[in-house]
Amino acid sequence: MMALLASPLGAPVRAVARIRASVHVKLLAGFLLITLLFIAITAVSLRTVTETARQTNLLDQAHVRVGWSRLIEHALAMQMHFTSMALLAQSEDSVSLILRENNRFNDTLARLETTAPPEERALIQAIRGAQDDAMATVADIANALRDRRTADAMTALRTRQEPIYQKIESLVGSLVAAEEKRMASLRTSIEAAQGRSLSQMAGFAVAVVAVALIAGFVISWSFILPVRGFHGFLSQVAEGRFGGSIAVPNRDEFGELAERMNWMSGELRRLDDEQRVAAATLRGLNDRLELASRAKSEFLANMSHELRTPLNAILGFTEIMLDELYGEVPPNLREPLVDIQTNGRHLLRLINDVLDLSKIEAGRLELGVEEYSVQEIVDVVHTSLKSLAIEKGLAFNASAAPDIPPARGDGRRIMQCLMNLAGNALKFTHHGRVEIDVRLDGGWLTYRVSDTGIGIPKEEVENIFAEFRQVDTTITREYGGTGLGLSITKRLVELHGGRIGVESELGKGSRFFFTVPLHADGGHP
Amino acid sequence: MRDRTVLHIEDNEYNRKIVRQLLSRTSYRLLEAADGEEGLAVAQRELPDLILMDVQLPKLSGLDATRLLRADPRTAKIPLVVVTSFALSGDDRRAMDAGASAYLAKPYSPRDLMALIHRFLPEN
Amino acid sequence: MRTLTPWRALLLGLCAIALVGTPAAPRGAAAGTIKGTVVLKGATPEIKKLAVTIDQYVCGKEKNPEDLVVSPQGGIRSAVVWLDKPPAAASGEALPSTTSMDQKECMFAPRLVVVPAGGKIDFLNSDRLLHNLHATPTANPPFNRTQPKGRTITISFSHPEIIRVTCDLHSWMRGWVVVAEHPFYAFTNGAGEFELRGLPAGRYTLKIWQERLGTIARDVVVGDQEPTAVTVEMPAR
Repeated sequence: MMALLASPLGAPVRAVARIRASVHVKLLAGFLLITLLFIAITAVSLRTVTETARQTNLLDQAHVRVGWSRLIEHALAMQMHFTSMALLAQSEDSVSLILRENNRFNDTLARLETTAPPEERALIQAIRGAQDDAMATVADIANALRDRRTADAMTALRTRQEPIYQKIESLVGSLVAAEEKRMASLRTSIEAAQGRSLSQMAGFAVAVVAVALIAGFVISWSFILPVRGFHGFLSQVAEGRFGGSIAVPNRDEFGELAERMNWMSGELRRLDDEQRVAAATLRGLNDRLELASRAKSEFLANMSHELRTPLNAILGFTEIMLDELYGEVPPNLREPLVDIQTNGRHLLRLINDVLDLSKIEAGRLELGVEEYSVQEIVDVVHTSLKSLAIEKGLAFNASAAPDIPPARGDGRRIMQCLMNLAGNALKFTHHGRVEIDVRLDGGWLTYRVSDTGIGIPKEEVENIFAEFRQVDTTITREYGGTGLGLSITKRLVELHGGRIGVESELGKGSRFFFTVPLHADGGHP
Repeated sequence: MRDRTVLHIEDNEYNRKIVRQLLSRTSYRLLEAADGEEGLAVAQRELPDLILMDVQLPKLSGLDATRLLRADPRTAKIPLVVVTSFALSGDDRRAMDAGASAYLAKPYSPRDLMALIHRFLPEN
Repeated sequence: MRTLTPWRALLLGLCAIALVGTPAAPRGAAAGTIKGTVVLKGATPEIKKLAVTIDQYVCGKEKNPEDLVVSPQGGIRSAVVWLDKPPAAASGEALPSTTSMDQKECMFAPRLVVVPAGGKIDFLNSDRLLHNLHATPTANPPFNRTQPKGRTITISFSHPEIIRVTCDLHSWMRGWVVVAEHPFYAFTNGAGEFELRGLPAGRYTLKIWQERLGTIARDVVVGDQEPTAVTVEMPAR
């Protein structure tokens, strides 16, 4: 098809495209053209048909004339015949036959005369003249026969009638020949004319078809070409090559469409460029964030080391001193040493909490997901805090449901949480009991610590897990603690994909609980 | 019987002092190094019976030194305890992957340290 | 049209006589005139055209039957009127002794001629074809003659008679020859009017003949001075 366009037909296609009219108008014009051509063909065929009918008519007439001229011949012969008959029969009937034949001759001749072409008029006039003579002779013969003058009749027949008849016969013969010749030439000319009109019509039809095809081709291709162009261009755009442009010769809707597409391409290129810039900026920011994050990690690592190292010395020396590695400890120095140790341990706890929270904040805390035994955790916590409970005179029970299979999660951290809750419970309870229990429910482990302690006021319950919030700063002073424990516990539980909650009644006690999946995968919340 | 030798590689002088004090009453001979490079050299030279290595060391980090010691056939078999401050999660695993025989978390109780030493080097 | 009964006619006649005086001896001038009208009594018959079957190129396609031509007022054309017993002494205008009848467009023209006994008729043929004159009178000799165009055939008629003439070749053609006994023959015009002049006063019987309606008789009295008006009614048939 593209080859066809390179050919001379390409120019009219482009020319039509350039016409500044809407596609609608162009299509209508195309169809209108075809309709007009169709009407033209119909008109031409109608004309041909009527022409043929007319000529057929002429031929018919000529045929009829030939018939008449032959009829005259016949009438003439019959007249002769009847005359002879009358001579033989000598009756009035025979005579009347002669007369009728004579009048038939006249009648047919009159018909021929009325529609005669000019070249035959003279001939017919001649026949008429002869016929007048013949009629007189016939009258005489008829009257003679009536008078029984047979001899006169015969004489008249021989001497007058016969020559006249000969003359008329030859004239009529000429007439017949003329008519036949006329008919033959008419037939020939009709055939020629028909042949001509047939070839005319065929030529016309071919021309019409060609025009229609070309018009259809040119108009439709003036639309198809730009559409193909658009297709290619859009494929290009879809592949991400923005900023190109398409040129079509059309100055109709397709031309406008091309302009829109070019504009669109330009816009896309602009957006793409913007996007590239934004992406580069983002990458830069990302890199900076990377660096910042790494810096944070290094900081945490450093802080951890820097804070813990001197603490190691403090606690270490305190311990070896108390172990009397430096010799016996004087009794009055024992207490201050223990105080130093106590505070050192407290400082350690604070440092641990702060570092934990930092890690969690930085998203750097990763759970070490392993199998752990729920029972073991419960036992360790119980063992660790038992002495504190005994000291305060509280009942302290810890149990886990016997059917709990080995769990998956960060056991150490779970223990940390449980330790935190149980420690708090023991801290804030003065009479009564603290109880730990763990249950498995549909894939979720519920750890519960209940106490009969001082409880939490209603309005403080929702804030209890926020950082640095103890119920009252006085309590912090009285009970100690960093205020970070519960928030860390909450984060750790959430890291496991679990939830934490509390029910409490001021003065009656509290129930803290958290649920974690039996098999946690350690994803970040 | 030769005295068992313990090599302590630690950059903080106070922590070195604690261990010195701890082992003064024992029969263990103590060797010290203040950075990774020195520690590596001493280990290769003296071939101690136990190495205590702090993670955070100047010149050569504790873990790198551990790897090097493990790579060296002379020192590969020496029990090596890494002392780490658990800054980031996975520190313990990293220590074991580097080739440590055990790890100890700072701050540690001196008793725990002695227990660990006894574990690797039973005193008679 | 008034009905003229014999009674009325009689009365009219008597009045006429009374008016006129004695009809004994004719005065010198025979100046009586009958002026009459022949009318049709009854409905004018419908005209049915006759079809022309041959020689249409000359005769046309159809012809009016002119056997009874009636004017809008009822006047009958070409009705022949004559006196049954002519006055002995008078001799009216003599009728022309020779008259002619043509054949035009296959019709006899005029359809009816009156010729005195002993007179002649020239039959003409203006049509460019053969006609055939044929008549079979009873008192006169019959004739049967083929006639081309232009030829005149003259026939003499010696005895008074009403003769019908036809053409063998054209069956619708009709002509009538009225051979008159005496000069007092007339035939009506288009309005049905006729006139008989030169009559001595007296009483006469009129005979009226029409080719289709036949013959009727009518008595009339002729006076000296005034022409006698008479209206004859012929019943339709």
